[in-house]
Amino acid sequence: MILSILTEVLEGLKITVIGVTVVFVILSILAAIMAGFKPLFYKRAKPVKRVPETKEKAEKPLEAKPAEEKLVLPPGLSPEEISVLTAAVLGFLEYKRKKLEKIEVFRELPGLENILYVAGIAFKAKLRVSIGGVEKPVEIEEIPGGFIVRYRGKEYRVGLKIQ
Amino acid sequence: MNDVDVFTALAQNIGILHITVGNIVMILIGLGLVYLAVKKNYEPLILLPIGITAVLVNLPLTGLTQPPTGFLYLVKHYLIDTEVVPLLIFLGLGAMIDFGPLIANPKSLLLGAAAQIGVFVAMLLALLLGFNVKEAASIGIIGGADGPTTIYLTIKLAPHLLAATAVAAYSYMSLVPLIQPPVIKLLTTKRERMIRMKQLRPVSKKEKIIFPIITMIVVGLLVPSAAPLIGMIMIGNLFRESGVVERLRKAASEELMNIVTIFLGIGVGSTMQAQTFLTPKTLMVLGLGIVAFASATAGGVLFAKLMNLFSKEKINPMIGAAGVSAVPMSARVVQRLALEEDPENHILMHAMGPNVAGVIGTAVVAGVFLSLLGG
Repeated sequence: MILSILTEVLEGLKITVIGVTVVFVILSILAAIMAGFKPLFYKRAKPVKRVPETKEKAEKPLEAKPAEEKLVLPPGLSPEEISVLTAAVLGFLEYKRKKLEKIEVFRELPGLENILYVAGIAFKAKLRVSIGGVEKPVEIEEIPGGFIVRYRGKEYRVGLKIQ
Repeated sequence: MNDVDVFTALAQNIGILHITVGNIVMILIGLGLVYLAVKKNYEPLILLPIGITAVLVNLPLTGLTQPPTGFLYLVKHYLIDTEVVPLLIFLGLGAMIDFGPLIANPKSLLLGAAAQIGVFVAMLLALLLGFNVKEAASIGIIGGADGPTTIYLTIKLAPHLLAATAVAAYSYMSLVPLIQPPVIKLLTTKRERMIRMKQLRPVSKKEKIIFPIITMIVVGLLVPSAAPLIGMIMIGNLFRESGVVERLRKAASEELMNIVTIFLGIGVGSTMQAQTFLTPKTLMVLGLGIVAFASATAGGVLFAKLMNLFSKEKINPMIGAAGVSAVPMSARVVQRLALEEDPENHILMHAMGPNVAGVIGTAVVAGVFLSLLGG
């Protein structure tokens, strides 16, 4: 009985030696392969070099940089017309908000404003836009997706999309 | 048939007249498992179905485990004995595991290997207690703290011990927070437990995709008998990391995992019949299970201390304890102990490395046993 147990224990010891060796060898191989992953796939972010601030630089007053980007105007529009149209739209939106605020239902349900045009209710306004101290009369009217602005006898279509 | 015959036939079919003391004990054990699952939340996903099925199979005359048509016989015969269920569990496990911490710190694999020493310690003790080699290997593998691997190996080497080893593996996995801390504290000093480790590097998606493929090929070529287990876990992991088969990942880690867990539970529970479970061997298996867990923990911790002797960057030896593959319980235990010593020492991710390495290590050990002892 004892002899058979000893025989089994000896076999167990043999299995233990083989087993421990195999598991360490295999997992070491995997560890070695994974250690190889690091240089292949992992790039450490380069540390940002700090330039030591010299006295000269620190004392140098900041100079305003000239604007590099040139404003590109839509064809056929002068800077004055663009200013008037922008101010007209902003003024109109403010005018419309103030008008609607007076009605309780619009105060409680601001979304209703969006279906007014569908219901055939469009806002129109006559505004005075002041540019450089000179007042310029404009007429503005809502259309789907934007406005029609009348200024100096000309009609401009201005689109407005909220993204 | 006269009235007496009818009465006799009826009486013969009343279960209570056939119940044995063994059945009653097993029903109580089954209810005990249900209690642990429900009240104490000990591995409820597996212990609840095992426990309640143990109650069911010990009700006499149900015929549930009778071949060729008993339902539980069919479940065990076609899903457990064929090893379909343990392998599918591995597939789901792979789809749930993040090997990132292991890839970031490859040395963790050695800790996963070291914790397997517990498997061999328990195996040798089992041999000394008179178990044969195949039984001892099935008992030893409990130390790997990996339920599906334990079931997989026991079905091949010692199927008559299936219920005992499975119950031991899953019960002790839930008892990791009780078993591991005393062993860890016994083997480490307060100063060692306070060692802080450098933050792990980030791991790229490419690495995470290549890892399961390489592991499957390397292990498959060197220990072919471990290929089913490692192969399934790595296929599941590739589902997860590739990012292109989200539906498969989800199915493997959720729906499929849940279904096979049910079958695993009731399949194992169906083996808990009084005549096979109530033996002195079962008690010894349960006792050796604790030894296996404790010695696996000790193996990992001592190896981590050994590594510290040769390494410039010291590692917190407690993470060696996470080399038993009870994912993620043992890593959490290690984290809790680290925080007890130093509330700002977070080593969970460092412990996750050996933890998932333990899964691979246990599967490799199971493969070695199968190669040497045969299926």
